Amino acid sequence: MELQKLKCGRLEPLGGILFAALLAGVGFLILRVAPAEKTMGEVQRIVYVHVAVATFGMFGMLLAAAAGLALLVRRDQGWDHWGRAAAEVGWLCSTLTLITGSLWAHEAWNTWWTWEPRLTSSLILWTIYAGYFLLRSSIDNDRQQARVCAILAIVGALDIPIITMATRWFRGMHPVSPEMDPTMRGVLLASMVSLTCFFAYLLVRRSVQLQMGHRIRALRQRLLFEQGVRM
Amino acid sequence: MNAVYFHLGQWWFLVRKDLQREYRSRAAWPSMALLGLLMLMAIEMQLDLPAALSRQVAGGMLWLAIFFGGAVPIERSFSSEQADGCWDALRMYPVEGATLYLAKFAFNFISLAILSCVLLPMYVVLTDAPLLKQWPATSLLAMLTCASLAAAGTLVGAIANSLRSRGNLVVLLLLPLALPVLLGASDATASLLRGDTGDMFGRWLQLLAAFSLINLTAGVLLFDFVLER
Repeated sequence: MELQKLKCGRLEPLGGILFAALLAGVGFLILRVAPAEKTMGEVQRIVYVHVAVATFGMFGMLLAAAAGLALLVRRDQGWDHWGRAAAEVGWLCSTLTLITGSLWAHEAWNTWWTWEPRLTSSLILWTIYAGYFLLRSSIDNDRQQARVCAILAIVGALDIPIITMATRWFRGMHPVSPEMDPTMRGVLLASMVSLTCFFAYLLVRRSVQLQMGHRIRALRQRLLFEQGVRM
Repeated sequence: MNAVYFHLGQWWFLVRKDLQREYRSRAAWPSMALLGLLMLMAIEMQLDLPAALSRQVAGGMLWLAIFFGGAVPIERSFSSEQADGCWDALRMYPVEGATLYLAKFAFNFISLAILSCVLLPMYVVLTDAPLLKQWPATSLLAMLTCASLAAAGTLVGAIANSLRSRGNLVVLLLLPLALPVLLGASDATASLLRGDTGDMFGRWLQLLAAFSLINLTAGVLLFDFVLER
């Protein structure tokens, strides 16, 4: 019965192919359909990816906090897999935000890094994710790890509005909702929707993988116990 | 009403216990003050900027020194309970998690306030910054910053206390969460040094108050979960 539960359906490869096609389509839109920006030129195309990863980077911590809250209230360990998966995908997006932002800044502002409000807030968010994973690696007990990380994710998510306020009150030069050509706006929207779907897919896949790992460990322990009893 | 007095009585008992323990052992406060002073001196020595420029950047250095010095009593307030099974005995008393959190918060807040009282005059001597002339605004800023750091620090200290490598974890986990406080406090100090106690200074104070309130509420609601085993 347990082994039956481990099967996640035959539609998995189809999902992978579908998302690979979707990402290829978005890549085509970004590189071929969207016009080059007048002043920035080709490097402006980074923005289509940067906006989507930045949004999901922040959203990942909120999802991890929501899963943490559900874990603490319902006492269901399964929520920890969702929380961990959300934090991992969120951290990946947060890292991509810093890299793509830095690449863009090098062309636009002639520097890889500056203490600009949005860059600062993105870096603080990244360090909160790093603290979350550091905490995870410091605890061996699964239940304690889940509970303590849920608390840190909630506190981290509660601090996001404060971080945003603290950094926005500096005078920044990061562009906010600039004027855009309708085609560019359409490509940005398509890129945001498809990348968000892709990250949601990654989140579900990682969560299923964590659940399977948890079940395999439980089965292995049961098997070892039964072998010990027989001997 | 009786329940409120009962919890207040428990709270005061726990705060007094921590203060008495610190008075007798003198384990955290001297190390805290020395670390803060050394950090402040080391930073000022290295910078050695002209007075005008120093006033712009040194505000951040002051609060950074207070943060690192303050991490000592925050870590100590929980780790000292581990000796002779004090923490287990404390958890067996009929004290609610929220009361315990607020008592530890009060001790950490008092520790950070003492550290500020030591480092602020030292900072004024080293940088010649006219902060003490505006002592009401400076005191309010220091109190709110200490409350913000203590609110987040108490929760993180309790989390780190239950783990194996707690010594390093307090600073590593607290610094990302406390960065907005340090940013706010250093910018508010820069505003004070410019003689601007108006709109911008008020905004930073609001941010610090909001941070304290959010983290205090989170601590009160989540501390029971931290105490679980």
